[in-house]
Amino acid sequence: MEIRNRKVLGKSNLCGEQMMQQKKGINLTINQLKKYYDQLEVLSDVNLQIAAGEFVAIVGKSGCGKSTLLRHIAGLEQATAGEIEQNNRVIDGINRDARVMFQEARLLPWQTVLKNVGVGLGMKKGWEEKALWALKQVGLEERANDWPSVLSGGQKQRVALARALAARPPLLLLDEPLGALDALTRMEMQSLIEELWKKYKFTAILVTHDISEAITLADRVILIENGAIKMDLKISLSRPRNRANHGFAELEGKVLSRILGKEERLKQVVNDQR
Amino acid sequence: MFKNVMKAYYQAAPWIIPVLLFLLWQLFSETGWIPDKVLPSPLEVIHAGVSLAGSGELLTHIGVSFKRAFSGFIIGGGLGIIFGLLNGIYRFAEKHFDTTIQMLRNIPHLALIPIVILWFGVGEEAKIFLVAIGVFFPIYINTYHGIRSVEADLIEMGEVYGLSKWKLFSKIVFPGALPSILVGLRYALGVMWLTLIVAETVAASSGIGYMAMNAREFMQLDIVVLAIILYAILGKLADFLAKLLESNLLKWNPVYQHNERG
Repeated sequence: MEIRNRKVLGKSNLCGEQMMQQKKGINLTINQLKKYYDQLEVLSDVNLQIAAGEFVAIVGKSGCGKSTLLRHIAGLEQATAGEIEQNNRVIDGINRDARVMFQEARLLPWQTVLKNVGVGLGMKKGWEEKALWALKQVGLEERANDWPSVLSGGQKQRVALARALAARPPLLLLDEPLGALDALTRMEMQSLIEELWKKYKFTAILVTHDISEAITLADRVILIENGAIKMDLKISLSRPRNRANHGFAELEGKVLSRILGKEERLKQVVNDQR
Repeated sequence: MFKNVMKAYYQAAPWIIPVLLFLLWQLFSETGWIPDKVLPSPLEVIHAGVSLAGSGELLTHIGVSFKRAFSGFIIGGGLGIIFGLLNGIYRFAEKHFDTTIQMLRNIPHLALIPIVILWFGVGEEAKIFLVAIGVFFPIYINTYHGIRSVEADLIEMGEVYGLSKWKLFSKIVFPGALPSILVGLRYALGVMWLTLIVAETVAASSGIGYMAMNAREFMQLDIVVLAIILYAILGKLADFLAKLLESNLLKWNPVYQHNERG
């Protein structure tokens, strides 16, 4: 088993390089998107342009509609009005170019780690090589034959990341994938995601509660409030970023104050954090 | 060393009580505390078994019973799985079939014995029919329930990741339902024996149940007890096979991994 794996690994490097050149990020245009659940308005009028290869973070209080927006981009929801164009094609039904990383890993407990990654490739012919390549990207190729139940929470999310990236999607949708992880694992995962994004240049959209996570990773931070975009902030700090960077705290304060709405309360929060 | 001894002990542990009961039974029979007319001693039962086996009669009866049980199980279980899957997956099928099946389920299938005898006589069909009916419902219900309780999150994930309808079924829905289906299978095996025993005792001209009823007429108590013990052994064997199937098919489940860990 060991030997076979190694042989496949050798080949998979090659195929990884080839795949790299195939697809680049995708651009998105969201036009007057509206969504109602019965009478309840979840998205009121969303207009947004996302360039190919851009990393966008969407923040907001819970229930503001940010996850719903992401589910529309994934093609999991039907818009009440408006549309989403992707490379000038309107998304209709499940978005085949997008891969979603959910808040929970959603691994199949009855499949090995490798086969779980294979699910990201539709289990189509020749998936083993690509799956191993993807596992290698997240540093878990040694766990290929383990059951998911023996992995830690962070490892499970790394397998989920490998599964999302295995098909080399031009668009990666991240629905608070790090929310349930401890602080250290979360920081590790953030730099892993950033690294892979820089390497493979897919378009990434991250929904998160964590403002510092948004500023660490994104080119743009978008704030959604009551189903509409209330702020679109460009982050031009140099990468890799962390809280010690000059200007990081200032940006974080700016977003927080916009969310909380009151300058006074915000200063208190920022001071508390220091 | 000590670990090995403990392991061997734990493997033997389930059989300590049966063996002890057996020894006590022999002891009480020999001392006369249990009169021969109430219960023959275990050695007498074994003796009866050996002489019946020698004449080939025992094996014929076991073979006949086994064939009935197996045929009924395959027919009833197969239909149970088919209807369970259909009704679990397709709303259309569920709307049309489920109510009828639930209604029929509430008829005790053994109550059908008189009408089944009128229909089929005491031939093979009667027994196979009864076993099939008895086995159908537990398998149907557990399959249906298993399919319905597969996590919607996992199915959604499969859809987003572009799995085909067939892959969605074979990689997510069916394996997700499998633990529940296997519970149904084990339960059905119990029902299978019960039905067969009753059917063979009431109306048969061969099989273990017939052997026991026939022996009763000639007051051959040892053979009656032998038949009862045979049912216990065959039942245990069926359960063992089901367990083996479970631990093979559900290897991924932490519940079945304790052997590897410990």
